[in-house]
Amino acid sequence: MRPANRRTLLFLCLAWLFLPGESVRAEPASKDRFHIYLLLYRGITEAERGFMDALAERGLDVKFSLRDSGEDPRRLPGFIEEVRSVRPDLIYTFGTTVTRAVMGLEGYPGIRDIPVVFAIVADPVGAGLVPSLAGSGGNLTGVSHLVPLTSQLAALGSLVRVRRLGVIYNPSEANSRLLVDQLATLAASEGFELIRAPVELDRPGTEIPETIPTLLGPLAGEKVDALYLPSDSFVISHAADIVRQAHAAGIPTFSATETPIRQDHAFMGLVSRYYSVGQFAAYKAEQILLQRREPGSLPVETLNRFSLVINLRAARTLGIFPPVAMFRFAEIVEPLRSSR
Amino acid sequence: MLTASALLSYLALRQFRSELEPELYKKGQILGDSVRRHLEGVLAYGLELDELRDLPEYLDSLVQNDTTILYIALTTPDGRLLQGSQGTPRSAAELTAVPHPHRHSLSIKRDGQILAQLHLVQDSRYADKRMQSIRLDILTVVAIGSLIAYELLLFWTATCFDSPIRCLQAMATAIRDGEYRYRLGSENKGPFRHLAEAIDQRLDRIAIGFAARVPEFQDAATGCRLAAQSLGPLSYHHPIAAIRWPFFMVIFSDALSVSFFPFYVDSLQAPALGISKEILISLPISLFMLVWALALPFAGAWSDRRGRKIAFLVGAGITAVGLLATAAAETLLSLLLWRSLTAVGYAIVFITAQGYITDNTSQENRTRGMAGFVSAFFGGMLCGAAIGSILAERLGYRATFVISALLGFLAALFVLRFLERGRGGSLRRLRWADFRLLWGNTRFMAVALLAAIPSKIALTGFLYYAVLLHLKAIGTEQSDIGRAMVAYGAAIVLLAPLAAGLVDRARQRSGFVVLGGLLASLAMLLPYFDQSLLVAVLGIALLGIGHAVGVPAQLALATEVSRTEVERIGSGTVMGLFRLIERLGNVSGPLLAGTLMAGWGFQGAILGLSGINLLAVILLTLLLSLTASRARGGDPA
Repeated sequence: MRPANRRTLLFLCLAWLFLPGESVRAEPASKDRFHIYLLLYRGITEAERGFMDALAERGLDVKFSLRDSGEDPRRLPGFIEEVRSVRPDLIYTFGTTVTRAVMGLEGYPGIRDIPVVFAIVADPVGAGLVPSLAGSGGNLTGVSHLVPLTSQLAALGSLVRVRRLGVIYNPSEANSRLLVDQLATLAASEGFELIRAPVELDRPGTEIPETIPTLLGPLAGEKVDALYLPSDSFVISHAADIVRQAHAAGIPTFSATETPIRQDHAFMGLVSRYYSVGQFAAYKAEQILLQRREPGSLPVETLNRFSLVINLRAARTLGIFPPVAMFRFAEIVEPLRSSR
Repeated sequence: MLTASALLSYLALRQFRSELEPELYKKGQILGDSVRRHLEGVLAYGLELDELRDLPEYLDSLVQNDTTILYIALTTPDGRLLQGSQGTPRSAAELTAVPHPHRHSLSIKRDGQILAQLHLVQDSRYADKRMQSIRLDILTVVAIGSLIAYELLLFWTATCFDSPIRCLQAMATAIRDGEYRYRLGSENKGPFRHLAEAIDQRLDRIAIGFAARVPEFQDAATGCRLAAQSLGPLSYHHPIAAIRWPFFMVIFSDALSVSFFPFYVDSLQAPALGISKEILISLPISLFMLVWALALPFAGAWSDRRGRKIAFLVGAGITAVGLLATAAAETLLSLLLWRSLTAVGYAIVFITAQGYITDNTSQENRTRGMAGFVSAFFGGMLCGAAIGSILAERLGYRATFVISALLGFLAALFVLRFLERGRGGSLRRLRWADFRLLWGNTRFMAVALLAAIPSKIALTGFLYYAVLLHLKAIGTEQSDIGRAMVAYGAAIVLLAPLAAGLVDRARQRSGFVVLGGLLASLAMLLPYFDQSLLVAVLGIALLGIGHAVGVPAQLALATEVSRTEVERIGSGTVMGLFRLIERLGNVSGPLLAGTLMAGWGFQGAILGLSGINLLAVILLTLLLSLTASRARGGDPA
């Protein structure tokens, strides 16, 4: 036996000593068929694809039930009633709003006796979901897609000199309010000016897309150097409009999430890839389903590798090209010519 | 030895050169290809050449990260210069027309169409520069090797020739005086062993022959004395030679790390204490000096009690263990612990060597003995710094510490084999009352506080710390840093005996002290004006000159101004106290330099160190001249 093999064997023996017995192999568990409910806010994203792909790769036999609110929070109580009666093995939630509803933080009863794994929650502590990232102590765990704001702004600063930063957001979304507060703190310490553009609300809880032009006009008038698009469901679903108008006014857009860059031509962002966040959430689900770990004992984590995503078409529209060296590590979307 | 190493070096260098050139060319090709692929990838996204942002900066960063490249440039397919890194010639003709053995020209294409031409030009002198650096390394090794060989030779001639010849001489003298009762013995007689045995046998036979007739023979007429029972074997022990070599080895082993120690500290994980990096790096040096200074009195007393052989063995052993643990240190805290241990061992070795020389010398030849001690100390420092930096560059910091530890163990083994057991106790212990007595002597305290301490601050703060960081920051290679430090030791070793002679003859010793201080101030200021290796080396050498002139004069001056005290408590005690005060400078030097560097950078630090030194010189001059008349009045001699 070659030394390397012997070392591997030794390692496996040692590893076996420290592993709980039932979790070492996946085959016996795969006889069980698990039922997972996916509660979504705005349709299937890359995160759900990553989640489902990862579970399939691990050899788990899972039946998925999808419920999509179509960005209407009023449909969530019905889903929760349904989940309560069906009693699946695990609930996957997308985003802050759905997760808060499932955990009973939106004024109606939630679910406290079925494990919940969330993905794409920017600030789980700030949103009141968990007391700390070490663990919820209850039936909840999950993965945040948060990229430290300072890193995001540094990425933006490498392409655009920012003295005045605009931010467009929906004040009725809790995570957006938190984010804008953090931006304001950062603006004070880093020495730039933050221009807030909250979406005007006609009725409480509802936003009107028609207000976008009335928001962008003043931002352009304020001569902002860039527009920040937070992880805000309203902003994400109207990103195409916002980006088109901002770029027409010569304002580069920086997105906290990747979809606006990939689909709606936003200029750039430093993001956790949704697909990877979904894969990480699948790992947490596996720990709960196969290893019978308590969700409350699992830490709430964030990815530690981020992607710098740049939309090249937007770059040409704005006339801001990334430095040659940046192409070594940036992910380019929408190249200017299709043949590569 | 010199011819052999020269020949071997020449052959190795030729081989190295013939292998280096093709490797360099291959490397240039690989790098050029990687740049080409990257640029082609960017262009494939649909960007045009004039949309490539910060292209010169990108090319610059490539050139800066690779010392073998001279420049990288882009031209249009018809040869017009587009962009280039720093160092690119102005005219495109120069770029493309001249055939160049170190140029790699690659086409940058998109869809089969050539968009631009990439030119990567390697430094044709790079191989020469590498060879030059290796030649210097070899020269250093040969030079230091010769010095070490000299130290070994001193020991070898002393034990193998000098000792037996002295025995033979003693025997001959005894026989001349009619004393036949001594024997030479075969112990430690080197090549004279057989001769000694033959003489002993002949004397034995004579003695037995006579003893058959008379048991105790003494001839009144000839004065010859014979006995069957001999008076015992003669032996002559060379105390200085026996201690000098192992002492040199211990100093050498510890000095191996002198030229890179701050960088090693920097490479360890440091606790977040809210202290700036510069001060953290200076801490282990200061702590070492502090523990060394504090341990010396205890080590001295213990060495007197246990005897020199055991004390040296233990000291060298502790030093070696400390160095080994230093090699394995992972955190700054563990490093501080191991350096303290090493300092204790170092203190024991230092004081034991000094004590051993005092034990084995008389009043007349003590100065010569001490001169041997000092030259072994500086020789070891000098050789260690130069060799250590070369080792560190080739093998890494940790491996060099391991080698240090092995040398420490070797020194211990050597002592086990060659040092004779001796009991010391000749050094008078320092007492608080002695200190109080000298405290009242303003002139003595002025010399100690304003001359000796600043000298040590310059040594540990400037040479062991600030200048090392500076040299590293300006991109000096490790082996060159080591050689730069040698300038100090070389100046001391070459000039100190000369200066000492001058000081002895001169009437005005304070003049030398002031001159040395001024030179040291100027030396530390030199790198302020010009941040080049050459000027740094000049500064280091000038500091060595300043100290060679000033430091022996400080000692002489301190003894001179404390003549009354010397009469009361002895010159040894006065000198001991002087040394003790002086070590405050050793301890505070790195901390002071680190604090200055943290606040004001290297420039500020050397300005500060130089300023402190200058201020001390001025104050010393004032104090000495103010108290001069009083001293003359009070002491008519």
